[in-house]
Amino acid sequence: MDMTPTADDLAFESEVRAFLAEKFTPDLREGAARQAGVFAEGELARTWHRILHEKGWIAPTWPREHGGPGWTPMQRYIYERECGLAGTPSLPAMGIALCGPVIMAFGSEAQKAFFLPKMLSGEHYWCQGFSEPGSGSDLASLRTRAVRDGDHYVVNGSKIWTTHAHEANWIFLLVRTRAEGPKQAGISFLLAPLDLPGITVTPILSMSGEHEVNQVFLDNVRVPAEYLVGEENQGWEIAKYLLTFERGGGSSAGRLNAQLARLKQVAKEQPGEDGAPLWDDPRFRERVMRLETEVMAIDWTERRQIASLAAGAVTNGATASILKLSVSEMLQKLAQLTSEALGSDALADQRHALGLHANEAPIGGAYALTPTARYLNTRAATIFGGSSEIQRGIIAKSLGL
Amino acid sequence: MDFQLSEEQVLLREALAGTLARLYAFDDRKAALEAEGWRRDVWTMLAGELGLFAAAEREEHGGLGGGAVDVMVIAEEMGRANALEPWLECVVLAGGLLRDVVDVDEVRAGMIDGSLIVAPALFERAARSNPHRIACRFHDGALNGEKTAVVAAPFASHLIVSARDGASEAGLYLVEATANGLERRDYRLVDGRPAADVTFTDTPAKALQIGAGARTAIDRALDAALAAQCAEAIGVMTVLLDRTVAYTKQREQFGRPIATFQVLQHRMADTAVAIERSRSMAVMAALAIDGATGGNGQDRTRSVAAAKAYVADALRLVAEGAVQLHGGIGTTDEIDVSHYFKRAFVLQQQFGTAQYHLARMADLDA
Ligand SMILES: Cc1cc2nc3c(=O)[nH]c(=O)nc-3n(C[C@H](O)[C@H](O)[C@H](O)COP(=O)(O)OP(=O)(O)OC[C@H]3O[C@@H](n4cnc5c(N)ncnc54)[C@H](O)[C@@H]3O)c2cc1C
Repeated sequence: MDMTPTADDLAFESEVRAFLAEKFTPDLREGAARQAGVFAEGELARTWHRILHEKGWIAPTWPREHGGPGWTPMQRYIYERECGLAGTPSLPAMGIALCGPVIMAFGSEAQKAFFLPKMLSGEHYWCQGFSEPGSGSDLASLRTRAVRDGDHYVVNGSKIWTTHAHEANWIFLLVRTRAEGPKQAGISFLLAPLDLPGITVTPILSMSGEHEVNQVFLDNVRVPAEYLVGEENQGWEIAKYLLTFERGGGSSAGRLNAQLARLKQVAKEQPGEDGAPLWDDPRFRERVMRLETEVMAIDWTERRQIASLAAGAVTNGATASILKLSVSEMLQKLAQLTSEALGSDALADQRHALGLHANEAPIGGAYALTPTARYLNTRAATIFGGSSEIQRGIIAKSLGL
Repeated sequence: MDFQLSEEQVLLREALAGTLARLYAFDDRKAALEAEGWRRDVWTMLAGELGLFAAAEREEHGGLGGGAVDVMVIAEEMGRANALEPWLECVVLAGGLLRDVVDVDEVRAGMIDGSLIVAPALFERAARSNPHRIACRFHDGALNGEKTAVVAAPFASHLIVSARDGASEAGLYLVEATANGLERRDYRLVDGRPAADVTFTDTPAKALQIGAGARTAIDRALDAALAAQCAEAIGVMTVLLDRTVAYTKQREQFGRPIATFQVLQHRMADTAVAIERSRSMAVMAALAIDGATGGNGQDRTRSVAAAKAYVADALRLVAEGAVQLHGGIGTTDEIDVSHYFKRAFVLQQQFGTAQYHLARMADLDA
C-alpha cells in the first residue's frame, strides 16, 4: 500500500489551487463566509455554479461523455478537499450530484439530451421531492399519487422539507403509481417544472431563522408523461440508487479540516477565563485534539475508500452509511466546540449579520458570525439523508444482524 | 434532613405553573419574541400579582425572607414555561448583588415591585465568565470600560456594574440606564432575549460596595444565580423529555409508533436518568446556598460549580436528543421544542460552561 500522490495528482492539485486563487475572489470569499446554512444561498450558488461551469468543473462525478471532467476518484478527492479547505460556497447537491446520475443511469436518450446540459449550465435548478409529512424515515410509505391520464400524470399530494424549492425551477418526485402490492413496488420517479399550475411552495423557517426548506403542495398537477424516469413503478430502485450518492458521495475531509482550522483560530484569538488565549489552556487544547483525531479517522476512511474505488471496487451501502454517520456527527461536534470557544459571543443571535445582504457587523469578532448558527443548523445533518438511527440500522444489517 | 417542599412551596409551584402556562402559550410567546423579546405587562404581573420578586428578599427589605429552595421552585417553573423575562438576571442575580448594600432602598423596592429593572453587568469579553478579571475602571465618580452580553440592558432602568477603582479594588456600581456616556449595542441572544454590549465613557455611577465586600457579594450572588439556573434547566429538560415521549408515541413510521423502537426508548431512558441526577444536583446547589448542607463557603462554591458542570452536560444531551427524536420538525421554528433547545443552549454557557466550572472545582482541590 502506498498513498503517496503521483506526479499527475500533484500537478492536478496545483491546478486546482491556482484556479481557486484566481476565481474564488475576495468578494465571493466574503459571501461564502457569511453562510451558515446547509447550502449557499441561491444567488451565491448561481454565481459560483456559473464560474465552475465555465471551467468545466461543475460536475466532478460526471463522465466526459455527459460533459463532466472525467476525473479519477483521486482527482475528485483532491478537488473536493481543496474546495473544502478554501471554503467555497456549498453548492446545492440536488441537481448535479443527485438527479444527474439518476438520469444518466435510468433516463431515456431524449431525457439525457434535454436535462443534462441544462443541469450543467445551471438553467435548471433542482429540488428533491421525496419526503412527505407522513413519510420521512419510512420513505416507501409515501402517498403522493400520480394517476395516468392520456399522456399526462395527474399528481396530488404534498412534499415537505424540500430544500431550496423556493429557488428551484424543477423538482424530482417520488410518487405512488400503484396502490396494491408491496409499498416499494408502486413508486415512480417523476420530474416536473415547478411552474406547473397546481404547485404551491410555502416556506418553513429553521430554528436559526433561515429559509432553506419548504412544503410543496401538489393539487391536480398535470405532469407530461415524458418526464417519467425509467419504468413506471421502478421508482424505489432509482431512489435507492440516488441515496448512495446522497450518503456517500464525495469527500468531506476538506470541509471538516477547514472547520477544525477555524476552531483553532477562534481558540487562539479568544481569551479564556484567565485572560490568556483559550488555546493556552491544555484542557481545551486536548478537547480540540480529540476532535482532530476523529477528523483524521474520517479523512483516512475516505482515502481508503477512494483507493479501493480506484482499484475498481463498487461502493457498498455500509461504507456510505459509515461516512454519512461520521461526517454528520463530526460537523455537529466541530460546530459545538467552535461555538463554545466564542465565550459570551456564542450567545448572540447573529442573523442580522448573516447572509449575502446583511449589512451589520457581527457581535464580537468576525469569526463569531457563523459558529452558533452552524451549531443550530447542523442539528439537521443527523436527520436528513437518512437519520443516524437509520444509518446505524443499515450498518447493523451489513453485519448480518 | 428533609427533601420535601413545604406546603407553601407546593402552593407557590402550583399557582405559578398554571399562570405561567397561560402567559407563555406558544403563539403568545412567539409574538412577544417577534416584538420586543419580553413583555412589560408580564413583568409587572410576575412582580405584583405573583409576588415572585420578593421571594428571596429579606423581610426588613420588604421581602418574604425565603431562601434558595423558594428560588429553585420558581426557577423550575420559569424553565418549564420557557419564560422570556429576565428574572434570573434582574431579580436573582441583581437582588443578590444588592443584598448587603445599605443605602439603595428605593432601587431595591422598585426591583421588588417591578417598577425598576436592574440589569447586572459583570462580564467582559476579555475574561469570559470569570467575574474577577475586571478591566472596567471607576475614577472620580465615573465609569469607563465595556461589559458584554448584558441581559435586559435594552430596557433596564439601572445597571449594576463591576469595576476597579484607583487602588485597583473591585467594586460594584449603580448606573442609571439614561446616564451620560452609556452606549449600547443591542441584540438578541440565541433564545430571543434582549441583551446588549454596553460601553461606559465617563459615565456617572454610584459606588455600592468596594473591596472584599464587593468580591464576596459577586461570588455569593453568582452562586445563587447558578443554583437558580440549574433549577431552571430542570424545567427546560423536563418539558423537552415530555414532548419527546408524547411525540414519539404519536408519530408513526414503518407502520408503528416510533416510540416502539428500542433505540429511541433507550435514548429517552438516558435522558430521564440525566434529568433525575440533574435534579439532585440542583437540590444540592440550592441547599448549599442556604447553608443547609452542613458545609462552609468553599463547600457552597464547590457544590454550585459541580451542579452547573453536571447540568450543562445534561442540558446538551437532553436538548440534542429531543430535536433528533423529533426528526425534521424538531429543527424548525414552528415547534416549541426548538425554542426550548435554544434556551438550553444559552443556559449551558451563561455564567460559565461545564469546562469552566470543572476547572473551578479542580482549582479548589489543588
Ligand atoms: C434541513 C433539512 C433538509 C431536508 N431536505 C430534504 C429535501 O430536500 N428533500 C426531501 O425529500 N427531504 C428532505 N429532508 C427530509 C429528511 O430526509 C427527513 O427529515 C428524514 O428522512 C427524517 O424523516 P422525518 O423528519 O419524518 O423524521 P421521522 O422519520 O419521523 O423520524 C423521527 C425520529 O425517529 C427515528 N426513527 C425513525 N424510524 C426509525 C427506526 N426504524 N429505527 C430507529 N429510529 C427510527 C428517526 O431517526 C428520528 O430520530 C430534509 C430534512 C431536513 C431537516
